[in-house]
Amino acid sequence: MPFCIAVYDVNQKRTGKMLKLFRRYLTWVQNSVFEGDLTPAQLKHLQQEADVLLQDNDGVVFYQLRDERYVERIALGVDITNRSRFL
Amino acid sequence: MKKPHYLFSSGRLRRQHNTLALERATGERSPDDDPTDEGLPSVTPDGKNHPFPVETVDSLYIFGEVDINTKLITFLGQQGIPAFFYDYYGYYTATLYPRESQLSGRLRVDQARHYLSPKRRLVLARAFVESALFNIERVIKYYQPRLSGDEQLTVQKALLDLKRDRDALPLTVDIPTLMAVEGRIRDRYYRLWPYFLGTDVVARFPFNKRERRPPSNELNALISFGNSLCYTTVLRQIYRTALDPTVAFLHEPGDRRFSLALDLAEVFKPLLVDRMIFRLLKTAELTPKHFEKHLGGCYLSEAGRKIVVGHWDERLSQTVQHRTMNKRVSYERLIRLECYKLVRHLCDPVGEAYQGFHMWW
Repeated sequence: MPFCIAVYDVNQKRTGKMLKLFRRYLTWVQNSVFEGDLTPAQLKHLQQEADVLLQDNDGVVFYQLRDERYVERIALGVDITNRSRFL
Repeated sequence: MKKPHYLFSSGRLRRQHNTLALERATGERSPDDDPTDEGLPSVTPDGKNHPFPVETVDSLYIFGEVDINTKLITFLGQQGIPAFFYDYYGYYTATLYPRESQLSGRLRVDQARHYLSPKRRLVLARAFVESALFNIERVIKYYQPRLSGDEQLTVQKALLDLKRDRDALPLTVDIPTLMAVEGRIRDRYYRLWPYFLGTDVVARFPFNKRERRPPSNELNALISFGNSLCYTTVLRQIYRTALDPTVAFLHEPGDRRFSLALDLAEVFKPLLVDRMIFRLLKTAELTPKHFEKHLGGCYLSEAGRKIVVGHWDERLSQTVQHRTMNKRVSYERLIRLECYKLVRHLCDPVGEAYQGFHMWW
């Protein structure tokens, strides 16, 4: 299962739009940082939708890992992320 | 990949910013059948709001007391997400089944045609029972060598009976006989369970006979709950194909339930449910404290349900090497493949006949 980390840096006016879009696909980690498992097709969808929203000096960066096994995640301080499917 | 999500918390589930969000409740929920209950939420969503990505949701299992509204139903329908509801005691109560998107008129006609022709229907019903029995046999054979003395002899005898019944299946001429054969064998099979479980487990969980409505003891509660999970998992897979879940062959296609899921679940119960129960009890992951007595029946507690569902989810994603496809497929995928096999049988009367799933490991 591909694992994906997405980071965006956009004008304040568009942060809300970005947040709403990314929340549909990924789990919120921190302000403008998201992570989660997506299929290649889902990732493509997300990228296309994000691209439409971008203006001026906005930018989004996607980091893709082939498998979640390659991730070692270390969180210091407060970690609010909850990716569990058992809510 | 889309995966099922399981909601144990109570609160309000809603559509928020085009994704799903659970507003958690903090209080203690009251039983659904509490005499003072007015049908209003027994808890208020005052806890944390937890949005989760809708694009990764395959289906929802709702075990908590959750408020929903039509906006959510519409949204789930648009997204094609089925939701399965369980009541306070963990009984499966309902499915919110989105509008069919994979429609095929031809298949529907074919499916009804197979149901209407007694000969064709019998072929399919027999295939379901045959593979259910085969899989039961596999489970018994797995445990037989581990037993000794009298126990092994009893199991040996049961195995012979089972084999004889299975060989006699082609002679059955109508559905009720088939059901009777299936029921008889299951009954005999359940009587072997104390041997399989071992004295340690039996001391904690006495079991002599299968009873439903309500389940009389811990093991019966576990079987009922496991079967309902199996049933919804099969239904979830049927939903992804063009099959009509209400038209069944072994079970009578009744109203108010998806009988085809019952047919297919029959095949997978020994593999998925029964082995899960053995595992959970033998490793003592489940203990008597995970069960509660209510209204003359025995039910899993919420903590117990969480354990079972967590294990179930893990089990479905386990893979085995498929013999003809030459790749690894998950147990969940096996169910979908079974649906496809059925579709092929229904649409192509001259081709290879449907042969139910047989465990090969």
